[in-house]
Amino acid sequence: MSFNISKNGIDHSRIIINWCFLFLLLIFILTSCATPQVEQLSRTQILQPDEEDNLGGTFFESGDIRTIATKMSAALLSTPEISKHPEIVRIALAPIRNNTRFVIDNEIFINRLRVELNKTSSGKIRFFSQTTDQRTRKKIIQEQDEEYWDELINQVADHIVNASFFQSAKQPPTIAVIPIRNTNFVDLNADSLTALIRSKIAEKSKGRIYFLSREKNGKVIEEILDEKDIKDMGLVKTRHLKNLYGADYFLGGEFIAKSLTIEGSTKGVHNEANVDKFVNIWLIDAGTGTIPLEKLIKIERKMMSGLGKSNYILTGELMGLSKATVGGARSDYLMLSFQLVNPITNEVLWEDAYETKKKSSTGTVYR
Amino acid sequence: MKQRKSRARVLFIANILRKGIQMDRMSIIFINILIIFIVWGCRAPSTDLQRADWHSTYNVQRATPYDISREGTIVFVRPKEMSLIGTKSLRDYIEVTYETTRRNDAGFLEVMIGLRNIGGLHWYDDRSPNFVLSVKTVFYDKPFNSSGLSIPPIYESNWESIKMIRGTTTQYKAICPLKNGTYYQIIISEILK
Repeated sequence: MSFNISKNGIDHSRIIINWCFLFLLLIFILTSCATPQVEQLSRTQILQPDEEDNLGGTFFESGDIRTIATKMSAALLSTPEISKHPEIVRIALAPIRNNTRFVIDNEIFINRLRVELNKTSSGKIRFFSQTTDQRTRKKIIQEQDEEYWDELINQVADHIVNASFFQSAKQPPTIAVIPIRNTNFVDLNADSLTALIRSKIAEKSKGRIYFLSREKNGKVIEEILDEKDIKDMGLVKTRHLKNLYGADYFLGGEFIAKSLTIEGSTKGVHNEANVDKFVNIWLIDAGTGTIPLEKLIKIERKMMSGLGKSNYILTGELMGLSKATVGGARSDYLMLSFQLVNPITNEVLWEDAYETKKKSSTGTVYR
Repeated sequence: MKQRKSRARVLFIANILRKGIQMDRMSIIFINILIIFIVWGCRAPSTDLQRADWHSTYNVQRATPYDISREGTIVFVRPKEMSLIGTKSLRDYIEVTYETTRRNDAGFLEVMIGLRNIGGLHWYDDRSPNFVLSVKTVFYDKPFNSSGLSIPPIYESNWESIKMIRGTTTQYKAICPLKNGTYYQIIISEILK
């Protein structure tokens, strides 16, 4: 291995070095000019919602819907009805009326606006859940009400045990439990409720109140009524013989639905109906038939939509002017307007609109 | 036999080392560069990712404070491709006629700019088409470029498409629905495709 000059006077080592240097320089230049490759591996392209999709169509694009939400939410929050309102503003949403030729889901506009308002209002605006399934909510309320039953039963038992005429009674009074009747309900059974009340009274009275035990385990009404019939027939005329009934008081009551409308049945409100349900517990004097004591308790709350608390209604209207040629070219002018309405006075407090006009040479189907 | 071979090898290396001193300067430089290149390429993986090159992960380059501090309140996104002569950007066709800000009655920052389509004003480009621009506004609660450090925005509008009609000024308005929005940057781009 030698780098000396050869016999013919050519310095081979220098030539090799120069070529190597040029080769390295070329590699350096080529690698420096490399550009990143943007590859699309799938037939599906991911788009940002504001991007155009190149599919044509003359209706609102996703970018338009987002622009509408951005602009309208800022405009709404700037209105004095909302910005100057001292408390949280509750808004009920009314559906957008679609008067255009396009068959689309109208809810998309108001839902996107609601999302934007919820995002930016910092809790100043509240909406009601108007479209979601309410079954879960109903179950939660029902379970909460049932958990409250223990408290209610305690209250009723205390009310009866601490009644003055029981406190001053010389002998322990006897109570017969009669079924709770349905006033404007159908198919509502309160056997379990009366059984719980009875056991709670017995527990709290500590032997100062007796309960009548008949064959039907508390369901004594038929027998008692039979005995009452005997009385009515004149066989029993004096109060001294009231022990024929075997009871000093009857514990009963009635179910009441807080409703003027009759739902589901011609006979009354169905037990599944969404109404406030009350039970009125009576203590009936067996001798006189009077009710010396009664207690009204709410056993089930009506599942409220909350719309009654709304300060305003937010609604809108979608209108359009469409043109089409024989060749299939189309043009559409679209206007989506929003209104904030006072539900009491029906005044339109604020209104704004978004307009666009688009033309396309191809027909596009919207779903 | 083995002893003879090893002796010849030692003599051969000694001969190379002795004659190598006689190499010219370029040869020495080349060999040195080659050695550095080989050593550099074969060095153990560095834990300092800032200096990593052929590694599994790379640090992403960061915008320099100097560049950020030079950014104005209205910026135009670079075009898809750059050109050596002239420009491929629609920026060449527009001018900002006004830029105003105010607090509206609700206390929100309201930004308005006027964009005029002036068309091509060069000898090599005298076209003046109508076109669509995408504009968005980003709002900040602190000066986003005062110290050359960029901060996250508190609110940003979506990309709004605005039609630029030849010769007319189109108004673009953006409202920050958050009261602490004080600073802004308007970003203009060619239509998003």
